[in-house]
Amino acid sequence: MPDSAVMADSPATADSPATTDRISVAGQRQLIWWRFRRHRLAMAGAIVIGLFYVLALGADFFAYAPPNHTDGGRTYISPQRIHLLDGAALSPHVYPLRPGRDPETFEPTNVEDRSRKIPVRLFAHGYEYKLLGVLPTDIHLIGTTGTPAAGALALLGTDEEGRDVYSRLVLATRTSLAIGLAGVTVSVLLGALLGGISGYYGGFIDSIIQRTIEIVRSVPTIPLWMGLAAALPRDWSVTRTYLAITVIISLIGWTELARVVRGRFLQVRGEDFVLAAELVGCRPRRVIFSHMMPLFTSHIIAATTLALPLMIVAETSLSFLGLGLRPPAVSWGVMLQQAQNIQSVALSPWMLLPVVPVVAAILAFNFVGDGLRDAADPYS
Amino acid sequence: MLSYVARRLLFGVFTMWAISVLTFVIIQLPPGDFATTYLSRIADSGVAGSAESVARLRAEFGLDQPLYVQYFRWIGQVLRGNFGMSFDLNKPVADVIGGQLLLTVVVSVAAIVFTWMVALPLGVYSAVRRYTPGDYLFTFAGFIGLAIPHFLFALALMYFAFSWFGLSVGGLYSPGFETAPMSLAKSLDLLKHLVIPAIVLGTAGTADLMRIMRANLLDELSKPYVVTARAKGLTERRLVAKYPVRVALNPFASSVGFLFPQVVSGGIIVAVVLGLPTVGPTLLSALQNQDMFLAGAIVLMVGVLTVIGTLVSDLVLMWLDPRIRHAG
Amino acid sequence: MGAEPLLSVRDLKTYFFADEGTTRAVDGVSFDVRPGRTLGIVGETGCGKSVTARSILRIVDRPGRIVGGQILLRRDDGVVDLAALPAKSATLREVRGGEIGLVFQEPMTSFSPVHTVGDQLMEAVRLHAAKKTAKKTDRKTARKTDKRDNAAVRARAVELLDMVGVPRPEERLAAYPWQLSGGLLQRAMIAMALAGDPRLLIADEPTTALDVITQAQILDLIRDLQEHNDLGIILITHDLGVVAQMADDVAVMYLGRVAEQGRAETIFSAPRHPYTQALLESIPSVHHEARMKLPTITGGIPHPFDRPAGCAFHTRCRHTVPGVCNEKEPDRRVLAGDHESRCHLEQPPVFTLTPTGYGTGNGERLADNGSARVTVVEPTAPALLEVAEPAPEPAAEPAPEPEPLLRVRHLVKHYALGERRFGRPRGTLRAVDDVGFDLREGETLALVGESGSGKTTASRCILRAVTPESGDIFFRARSGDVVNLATVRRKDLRALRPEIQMVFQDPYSSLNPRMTVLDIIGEPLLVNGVRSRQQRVDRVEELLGLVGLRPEYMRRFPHAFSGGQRQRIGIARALASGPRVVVADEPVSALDVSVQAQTLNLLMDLQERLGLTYLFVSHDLSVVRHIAERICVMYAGQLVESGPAASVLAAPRHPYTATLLAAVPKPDPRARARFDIPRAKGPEQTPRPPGCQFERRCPHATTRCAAEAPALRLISPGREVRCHHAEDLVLPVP
Repeated sequence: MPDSAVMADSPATADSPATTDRISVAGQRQLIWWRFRRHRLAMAGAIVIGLFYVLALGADFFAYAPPNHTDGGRTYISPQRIHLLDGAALSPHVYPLRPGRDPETFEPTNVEDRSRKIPVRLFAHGYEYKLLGVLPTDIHLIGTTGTPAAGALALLGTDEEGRDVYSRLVLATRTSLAIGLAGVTVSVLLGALLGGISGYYGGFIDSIIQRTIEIVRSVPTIPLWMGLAAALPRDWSVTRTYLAITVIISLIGWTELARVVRGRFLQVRGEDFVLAAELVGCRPRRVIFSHMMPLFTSHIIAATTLALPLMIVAETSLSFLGLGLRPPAVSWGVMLQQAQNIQSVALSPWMLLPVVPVVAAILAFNFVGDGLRDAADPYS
Repeated sequence: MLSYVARRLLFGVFTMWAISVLTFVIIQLPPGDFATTYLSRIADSGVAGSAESVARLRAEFGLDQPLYVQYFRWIGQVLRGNFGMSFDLNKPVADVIGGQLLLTVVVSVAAIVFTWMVALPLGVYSAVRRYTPGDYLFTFAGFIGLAIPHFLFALALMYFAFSWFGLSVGGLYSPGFETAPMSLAKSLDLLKHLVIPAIVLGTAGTADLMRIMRANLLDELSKPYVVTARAKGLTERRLVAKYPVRVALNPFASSVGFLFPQVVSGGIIVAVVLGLPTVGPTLLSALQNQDMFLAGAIVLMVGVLTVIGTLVSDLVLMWLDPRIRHAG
Repeated sequence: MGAEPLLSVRDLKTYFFADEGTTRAVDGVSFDVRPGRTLGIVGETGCGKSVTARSILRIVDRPGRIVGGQILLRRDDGVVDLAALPAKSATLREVRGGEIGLVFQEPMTSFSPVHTVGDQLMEAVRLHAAKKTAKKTDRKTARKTDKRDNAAVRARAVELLDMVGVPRPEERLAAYPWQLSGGLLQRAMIAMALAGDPRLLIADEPTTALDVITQAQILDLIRDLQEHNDLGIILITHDLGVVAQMADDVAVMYLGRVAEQGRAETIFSAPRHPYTQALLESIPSVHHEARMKLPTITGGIPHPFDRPAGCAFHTRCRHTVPGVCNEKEPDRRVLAGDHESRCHLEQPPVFTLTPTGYGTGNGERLADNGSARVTVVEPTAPALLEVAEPAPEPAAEPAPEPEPLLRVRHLVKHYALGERRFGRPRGTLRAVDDVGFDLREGETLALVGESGSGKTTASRCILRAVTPESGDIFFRARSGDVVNLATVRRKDLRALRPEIQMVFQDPYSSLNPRMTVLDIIGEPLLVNGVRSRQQRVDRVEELLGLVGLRPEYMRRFPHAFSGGQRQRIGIARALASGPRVVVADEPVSALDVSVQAQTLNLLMDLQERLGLTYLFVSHDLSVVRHIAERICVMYAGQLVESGPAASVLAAPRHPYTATLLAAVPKPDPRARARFDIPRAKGPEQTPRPPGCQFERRCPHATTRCAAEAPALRLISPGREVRCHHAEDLVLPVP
């Protein structure tokens, strides 16, 4: 060793930074993060997901109109233009709108009432809500002064009942992401538990659980969901329906997670260091929780991330068919339900806008999940 | 080998039984029973029901018996081909869904054929020409394909077809053929209309399978036997086609096993969007109207179809993979 | 040199381009191969020997690329530079298989699992048969004959399999690769490589994945084929014994360069390069003194990214001249005839280690290792064996042996065969079948055998990592109580764990990648009651010092260490709880030769200092010969022979032991001989034969052997043999 002199006079407790390089003392989490950071798509996905959750957490702040505020006079308004300049001065404003049709093409056009300017500003006062569920406030990111924003703004247009698409979209993001998260949580608990039992005990119990998984996987999911969802009583409250739908969609996701957990469990169990831990006298609990579990948490997280989009699609599909969440709840699926009629979509294409966040969320979760999966295995 | 087939068959039967129980649970789930539903329906139509007719209906359907007896009665009828009555349409269920089931199979098979035809060459190309612009393009397209749920894709496709070309892409037959008897012209017309549903239904599976094919083939391409074959003096093209692609084909064959449930189940919702005369829209309306015999029959039959599809894929895989064939 | 070279590689450079940097896997390699001669390329991990082989055939995988040099192949129509041909050239394809055949390390993965052996073999036959006819006739007729000649192709395939000694070749054509044993497959692989009648055969570690007996058979086969076909052979291996037995010329590679090359006799008897010298010295079996401290090469092989400047070997070289070796790349220096070396030293270091003499030029290094225990054993043994007497009692051991530390009696462990269906297995494998032995305090007992002999299972039973079906394992615990480890309850077992520890084979899988070295080595302390962190840190520091690692390393994670260093960490963990018995399961077989010697030295040193008792499980007889005092040889789950190491290895009494010994390639080109391993009379039988398990492979088997199972008998003090004819057989002495 070239620096054996160091060895002689440096006590072990003093970690000399000169001799211990960064990578050598980096834990697995650190290594995974370094590898993950190199995946550009995964990083982009992570940022998108981050933004989504920020949007979901502060949904009421980002919205400007109550989601179920209807206005018979403002149906099917197409996305509105914000005029930034007033003459030469920067003064964002909008004009009051009335829906109209182009007399020749029947294309929807907004009729702007140029006689009245409505100033638009950031951090404006609007409807009252509780920020993060606790802080009562009425400040919104965007709003108007003078008239209430709900009656003046239509950034992404309005629907057949004159509800503001933008505001609904923001609030729907909260619902859809939350239900996905809730569904995946149930799935993970179920999957990790059953997969763990399957891998740990093996033998007969393992066979039973494996066959169950095979059966569940070979059952066509959507008809099953539909059947179960349709059986929910109509008179249930929104929250109860919400919970029931969560349970229904998580009934499918757990199988994949159970498979991943079991596979990893068996793989890790065969590693020499697990035997080594047993041989030095570790109790089974310590072997499982200190040696085995840390090795597959990253895999569980990756599998969870990959399961989330499935949950989101499930909710969206069910609500789209009218079997999932029902108004007054707002979710991406509920909003898309209005887009079932192709004629109305053709005339007001902004009704298809919820497709954008759905696809973006699925893509982002898939990228992150893939990146995590690749990063989780240091020696593959 | 025979024991393998027997095992798969046994498991298939077992799965069907499990599905039938699930179906029965679904039929039983809605509050009240058929009799009350039926009565309320009759009541809706203005004819007053009576307590006796409720009792009569209950006795007829065995609704006063314990659940397991009801199950065996029901499954016994089903096995004899009697799926019960559709209260809503007032027709035997079998008459309602017979033709629709056939079309469901046709659409699903078309989607799977599309999936294979696209995924196989693209997957092979991506793996062999790894890190080329073509690979990146297909991989990215695959990601997008995977990310768009079936029904949204259908919706978007319909929107663009309608707003750009003024076309209505729904349905499986042109207006003139809907009621016409089966003929060559009608079949051709059906084929023409199958393209859109096949693409819509097949896209996600294609993307999935392409990724699987690429990953598998990349795995296989780095195996020593490929180098061995190369060292023999085979041309690259023949080598890739004969060895790694052949080995990587096995998961391809088994993909029917998971594609079929996906396609059938995705088909239901796509059919609703595209207005296809398959079991999809019927199931939806049956569920909305609590027409549970009809809904149950559809769920059951779709499940059975899936099990058969999976079974076929298992047998194909066995035929393809000598390791399974000889393992017994 | 007589014949023109068949292949001349000149200044070959193959680099791998990755984001992290460029790896110069092969960096200026030159050599010649002549017809009828074998060039052995030797080197440790990462020296570029396999990449060299692949470069010759132009089958280097991406991101590798040949960036310079020539590969000149002499063909009928002149010399062609393979390195200059376009990647898709038809000539290149003709050369592959047609002029150069290739054999790989892993026969199991070198065949496609979904095609039959016949399919793959006949394809090779057809490929080159077609090409050769195509040259003469026009293509159309060639194709026609090709079709008509299916029978001829088949006949040729059968002929090839027969030539390489595959029994019942017609049947084998229809078999899938996974239905054949490794040895048979490697023969089929060789047949495939020879299908196109090549003039050059490249064998890349052809026997590394095989058991030693199969290895000997394959090596004999390669020799025979060379003799009959006047083949030029490039034999790539890490095993110096194999090279000594097979090669006419030797090239020693280190980090992408040829350090030294020349005639095999010259390289083995008068090596000039310090690396070659050190490599030869670190082979355990060249030193007949058992348990002598092995000379080692310090450190490990650098990662190709951190290739040292100047002479790549200077960081580990004993003779480094500062200012020269670490700055300037040494040139090729032709010493005499075709002997050349890349070293700055004008006067080569003295090297007197000769396979017969066993002196060493590094005597002073050995002498300063005061702890090396040297037990002198007769270097040669009498040819015939009525003797079978125990080895001369070492002075260290007084006559009456106290109660052994561990007494194993009638140990049985079965495994279910095939997939379990509803709890009913398809058959049972008797992994350990009535095994018994004693382990005495302070000794090293080796369990020896081929893969599948049950040696590992037996050792795991002693650790109670697996629970035996029946039998007893009496352990004299530190408390003085004798405990039966086979039946002890889990709770009581935990209290005994600290006394029996294990060192694993795989240095990668045996350390938890999520834990720091401190946590790994400290865990036995933690779970056995050392709660104070400071105490643990102190003890781990002490343990690291004991195994020769720096204490600062305790904050690092396993991924920061090389294989050899990881193995040291594993040893430190085993020692943490202060064990009395250490079970070492092939502790050095995953390591490079130079690191292997370091680790063996460490194990012997620790035994000396801590009074440890070793149960050493190994398939490698040269390692066992070096470290063990007593040996138990296992075959098919049974003990077939046991006794003092020197005596068993010098004068085996069981035909299996004798075969095993005969199959070990000796690292001395002058002691070159055919192995002549007797072939099995028939396939191994799955239901166990009623008689002797070794009967089918035994050259001395009689009718009695087939009918009656022999018992393990004491034939002389300390020597037990399971053979009916132990006393009257004339066994070859290695």
